[in-house]
Amino acid sequence: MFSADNIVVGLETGTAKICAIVGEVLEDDNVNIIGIGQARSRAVRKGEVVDAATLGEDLRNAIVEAEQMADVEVRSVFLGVTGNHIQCINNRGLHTVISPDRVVTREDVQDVVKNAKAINLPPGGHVVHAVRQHYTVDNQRDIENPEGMTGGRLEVDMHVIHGQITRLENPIRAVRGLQLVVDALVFNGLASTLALLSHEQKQLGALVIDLGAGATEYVVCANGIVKHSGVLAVGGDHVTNDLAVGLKLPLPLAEELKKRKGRAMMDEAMAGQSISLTSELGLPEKLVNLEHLGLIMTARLEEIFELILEDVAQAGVLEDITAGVFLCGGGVRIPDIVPLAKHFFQLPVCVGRVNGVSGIPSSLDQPEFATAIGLARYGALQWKQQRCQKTFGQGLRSRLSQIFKRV
Amino acid sequence: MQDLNSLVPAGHRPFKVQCFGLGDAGCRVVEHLSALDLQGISFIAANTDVRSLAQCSASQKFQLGAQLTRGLSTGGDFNLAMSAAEKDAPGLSRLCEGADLVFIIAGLGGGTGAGAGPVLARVAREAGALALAFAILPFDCEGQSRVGQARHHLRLLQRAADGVICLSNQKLASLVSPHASLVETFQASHELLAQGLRGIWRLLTRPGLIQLDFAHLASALRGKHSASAFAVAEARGPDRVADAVDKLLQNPFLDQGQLLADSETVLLSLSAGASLTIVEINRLVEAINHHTGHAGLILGTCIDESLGDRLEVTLITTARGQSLGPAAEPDPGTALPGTDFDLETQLATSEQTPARPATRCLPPPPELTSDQKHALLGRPGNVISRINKALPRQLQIQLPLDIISKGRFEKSEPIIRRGEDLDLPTFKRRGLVLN
Repeated sequence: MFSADNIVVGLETGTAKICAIVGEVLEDDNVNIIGIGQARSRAVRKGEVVDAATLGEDLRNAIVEAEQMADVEVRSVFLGVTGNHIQCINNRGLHTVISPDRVVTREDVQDVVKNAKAINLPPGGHVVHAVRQHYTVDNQRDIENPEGMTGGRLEVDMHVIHGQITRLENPIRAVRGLQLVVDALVFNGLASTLALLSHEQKQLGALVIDLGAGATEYVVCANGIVKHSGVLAVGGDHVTNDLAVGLKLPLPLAEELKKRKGRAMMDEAMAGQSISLTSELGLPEKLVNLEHLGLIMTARLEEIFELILEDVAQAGVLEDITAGVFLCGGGVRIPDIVPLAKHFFQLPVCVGRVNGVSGIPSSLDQPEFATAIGLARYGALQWKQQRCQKTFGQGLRSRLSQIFKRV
Repeated sequence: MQDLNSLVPAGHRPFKVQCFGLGDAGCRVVEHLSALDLQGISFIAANTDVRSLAQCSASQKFQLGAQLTRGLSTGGDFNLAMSAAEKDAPGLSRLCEGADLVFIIAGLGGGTGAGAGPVLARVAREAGALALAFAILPFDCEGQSRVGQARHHLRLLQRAADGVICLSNQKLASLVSPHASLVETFQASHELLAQGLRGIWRLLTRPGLIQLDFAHLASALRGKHSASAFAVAEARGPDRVADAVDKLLQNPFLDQGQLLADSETVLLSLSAGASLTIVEINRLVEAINHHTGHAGLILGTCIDESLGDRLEVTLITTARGQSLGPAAEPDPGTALPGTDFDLETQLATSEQTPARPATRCLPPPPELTSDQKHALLGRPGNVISRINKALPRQLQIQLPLDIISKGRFEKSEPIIRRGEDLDLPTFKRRGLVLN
């Protein structure tokens, strides 16, 4: 095993699976995926940790698998976070340009960004991301770089994603328990967006929906910036649970039934049909009405889309979505989910494909890996920025300290 | 000892039924209805658009939101319509005063009907009347946004009104011939509504051999907030029972009888000439019972000589489903003490439905008119007024006993959106029935 400098690792602690993606950053700043590690997640509910010790084991399994496949040593990871506690707001910062010639300097820009980041967080709140949107100089809107412009009043919009520090710390602790460094926390929705959307789509305006097992994240991008995002801590697990309650089945059987016979929309052929289930425990076989199955699943999935649509419409960004809706996550595997989404959003809907990433082809086609790949991609972007900023001395010091930490 | 002779007439004054048509669609239906001979129902056309109101031939008219829209239509803006109705709530309340039953006819695809409907339903209930809404849902071809909006407002209306009877224009489309003109299609829609209304009106006013009255209707609808449906069938000749049943089951509003299976209560009202036999009634009830499953069937029969050998069957079903948010329910104790029907309703309700209606914190009791006060004070020894006084204390708040399992999310933090716990299965919250 060798350890290279240009390795970035995305680690997603999902509700259904833990996924580690090892990527190497190429010369042209693209990511090449060289390793994937997966483990069944046993200690996560609705995107949040419920059992730290078990999570540690699962994480270890996933990381070891990824290390073996990529033949590198993983030292640090970009950790994806989600959960009901994560909230997003848009905040505006204001700064008055005081230089006599009224030219916006770099310091002015830094000041206004600092002002915009200062928001009233709820107690125990922690900012995960503060994504810059556009600047406004003297009511002239949508300016990408105000430096060098003249004006008196400089404003900037920030999209701030924040969560509860105590709940964010749970997965960090588990990762640190494996002697790994957390490079950064990344909101899962942003990571999926990074993986799926091309530059043009971000400009045109797109809605990314990550239908996970425990939580559904959604992000609206338009004009090249993040306009709105959110988490709905409802996902595939809820569908399974609904089926278990509605059809009176044990959870594993409900899960299997969902995977085998599930549909997002009612089908003519399902009406009046039923199938019999056999269980390994020798229990008498049970007759399940497929129509009920469809009814229960449709109700839940419809509700998820309804709530997302409502939230997006309330944020006033529905009109910005012109490129369409991009779906990813395990929920995409449900047949007919695309027509259902089309029906709700009245927009072109497709299953998103990872772009701007090369490597193991089988990994790129799976909608489940979008988030983890996005995390690696986020890592690559950060890596590039850090490389630009670091001086030689700093770089050496950090590398030495890393070596000692590891030993 | 009570003098029963003095008691009975006091309890039976004639029904007062107000029928509101809201918005363009509602006004047109009211116009159609007022041309029919329905005694005891006063029709009121209410709209924001003065011009369409002027064209309407209804006997009473009410302009909504005179200051807000200045006589123009809302242009599909239901929020505007809602504020207009809120502003005019005192006026609407005055119109509902003393009414036992308020029909609200509204098209939910537009602005006025969708926005003002829930407000009017609330006002009517606050005035002590039973609010029964006929909601007209748009055709699918009117656009997804309208259909979606209508669905949303239907839910609002269900929360506000005692009962909502849905008329889906799309379902109606399968009823009329493909060559029917637009006018004929709308005419058919109005006619269907008129039939339903007439059926309910007959049920309330005609003395029956097997009595089915306001109290039955109220007990079936009150506190359910569910979508109801109705079907009317008419048949004559020797096979009239079989014909009527066929017609009922083919009715698109009953989803080929599917809705019957999902219903909680089925009200069946028969009217026929003097030739009606008990065998016929028996056959009809058996045929309906065959389709209803576990639903409770309430039967009423009345003899109307004018019908000749015709048999008219009116069927009202209330869908099974949990009540949508107990917050919207009026407390039975706060209903107008002056109207004895409310007491009857309460008594009937407590006898017939095993589940007592959930209660909520009490809004201030409605103002009594002077003659109502008089009526109350004038009979100090009256049993009814004594029970009436004691009633609010007797009612004990009871939470719904229906415990829904959250399965694997039992112990996790609930996710609350729009006041609903999303961990609970969606199909249960929406009252979908698996049978």
